Amino acid sequence: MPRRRTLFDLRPSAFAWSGLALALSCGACAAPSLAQRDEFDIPTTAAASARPQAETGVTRIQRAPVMRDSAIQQVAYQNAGPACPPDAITSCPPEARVPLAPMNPYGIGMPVCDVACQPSPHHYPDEYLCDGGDREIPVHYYEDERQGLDTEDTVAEFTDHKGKQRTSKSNKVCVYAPRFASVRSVSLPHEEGTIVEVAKAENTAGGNELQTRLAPTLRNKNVAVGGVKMRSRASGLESEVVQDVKAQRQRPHMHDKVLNLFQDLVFVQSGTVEQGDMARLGLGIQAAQFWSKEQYPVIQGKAVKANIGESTISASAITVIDDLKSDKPGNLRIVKVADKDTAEVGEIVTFTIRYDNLGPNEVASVRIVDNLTPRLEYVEDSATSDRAGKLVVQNNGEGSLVLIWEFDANLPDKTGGVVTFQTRVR
Amino acid sequence: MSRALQAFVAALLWGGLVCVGNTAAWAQGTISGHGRYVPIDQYVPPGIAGQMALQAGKATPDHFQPVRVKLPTTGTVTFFDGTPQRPVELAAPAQAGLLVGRMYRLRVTDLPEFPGGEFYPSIELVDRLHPPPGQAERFPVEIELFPEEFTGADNGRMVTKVVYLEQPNLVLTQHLHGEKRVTDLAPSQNALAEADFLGRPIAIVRMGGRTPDRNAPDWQFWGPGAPIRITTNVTNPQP
Repeated sequence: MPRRRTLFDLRPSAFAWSGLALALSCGACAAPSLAQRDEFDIPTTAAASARPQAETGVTRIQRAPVMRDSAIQQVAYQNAGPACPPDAITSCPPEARVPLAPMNPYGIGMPVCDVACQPSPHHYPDEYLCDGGDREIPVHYYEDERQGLDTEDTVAEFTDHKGKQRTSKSNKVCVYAPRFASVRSVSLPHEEGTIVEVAKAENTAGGNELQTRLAPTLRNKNVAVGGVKMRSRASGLESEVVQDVKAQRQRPHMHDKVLNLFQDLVFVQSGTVEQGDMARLGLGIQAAQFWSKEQYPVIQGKAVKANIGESTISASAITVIDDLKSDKPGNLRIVKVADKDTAEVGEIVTFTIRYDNLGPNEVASVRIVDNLTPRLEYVEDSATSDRAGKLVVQNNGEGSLVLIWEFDANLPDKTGGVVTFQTRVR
Repeated sequence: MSRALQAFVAALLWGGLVCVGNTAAWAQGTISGHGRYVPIDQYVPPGIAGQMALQAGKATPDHFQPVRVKLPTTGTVTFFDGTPQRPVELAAPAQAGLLVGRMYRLRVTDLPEFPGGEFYPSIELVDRLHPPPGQAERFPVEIELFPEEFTGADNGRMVTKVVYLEQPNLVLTQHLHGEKRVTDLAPSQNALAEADFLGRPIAIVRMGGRTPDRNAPDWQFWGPGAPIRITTNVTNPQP
């Protein structure tokens, strides 16, 4: 006997449907209108009527017409939330997500940028013209002969107060100056077709003749009679050649190139991090230290400064050190800068080298040696110096020059000087 | 399985093998001077090297790389914005932004050395530059076309050129004193591997003697087309 449905039987389903309706109404009207109030101007009815219907980027939901004259009045869940104005903006497509930096061929999944997210000579050294530093083999002396002076190298040679010859390298300064060249080949497009056509004709004729000659030589008439098979093998020779070629050509079709490109990287092959990577890691570590909120209270909470300030031991120690002349050799610091960071071919770039003896002893026989990179052409008579000396210009054998400033007097500690010269970008 | 179905499946298999053989027929791997494996050469169909460069992550598909085309003296360089029906004529040296990985067909006319001659070189970028912010238009990829290349194309020869970014420490000494920075190779040599040895391959330029039929456009000749970007506030430098 069927049971009669009561109000309690209908209540769960009614609650479910009413809850869904409430969720839809809140989700469609109330929440977006609150969340996007700061971003969009909710239009008035007049403005909305004047707006064209087809508007890109905005989805509008039309409200269902209210049957005010109907005999059925909905008494529950009516006007539960704020009413949506006509043509209210209820949703909008998300903004296009554009990566800040392209993919990094040197690190899968990592953008091509450093902390500042700017391209730099560390990432693309072939686009920059660099001079300074000590590239590849470090400058050294072997039986009083200087070795390891590569192009781009800029070093200072000097003799300390004990007569030992020392060197110090400068920083590297880079100017964005890409230059292009090309390799080319000239061919005739119809050469390939001619070869293919000739090969077909000769293979067919030659194969038949060869089988005919081999048969009497082997004295095996059965084999000669079975020449029908041999002819099929001769024609099959072309297929074998083609398949052999196909086997070689399927490797790049399997995208071996992409894999090999990544495998050719130094990091993938050797597993070691190069010096350029260390600089980037250093920047990242430095940035992480600055950006870490947890470390700031730790640093500020330390009382190290107060202890140092109250101590009188350091003051007495300074007094003792001042009375004794240090026996450490003089330390020559050399800094190189350029007057521009980008240069086209033909432009003049002025380099300035600042050298200082940081002490504690004077140095003698100071020489500033700059081996210009091949694409920098020295502008004649453009070298200057604020200290007495001479400039020696040598050919470096790689298309550019070696500039050597030799100073007459010794360089006391806590003193320095400046040399400049101009180059033309080739 | 019926005999007809077996024959159909066999035909499909053989057809697939033939297609694979044809598409892979350009593969000519070479070991460059640095020991890197260069799996393709300059004779790959236009667009293949660019697509492989995109897959390698050398550039994003939406990156416009400025390119400057230089002619021996004067002339007109016509870029095509998407289709051959939208030509953009510029006086040489002409500069436009091209997408990396796409093949662009150009038209070069008004050459005083070749009166009435029309040449249709193609440019395919396989890498990009990374200049400082705001300097992209000032430092474009420079593609220079020389008179002997036009002469070769006029005689029906195919000139294939790989433009590379010079490695500053590997600059050839003969390229330091104003000479033409181009090196001739034998047709059997892999120009991409040689360019990879001397620097970083940036673009592949192909120029032959074909001219399109104006009455019947050959889409294989024009390629799928790609948009270009012309920066109006950049004045083309004087030749």
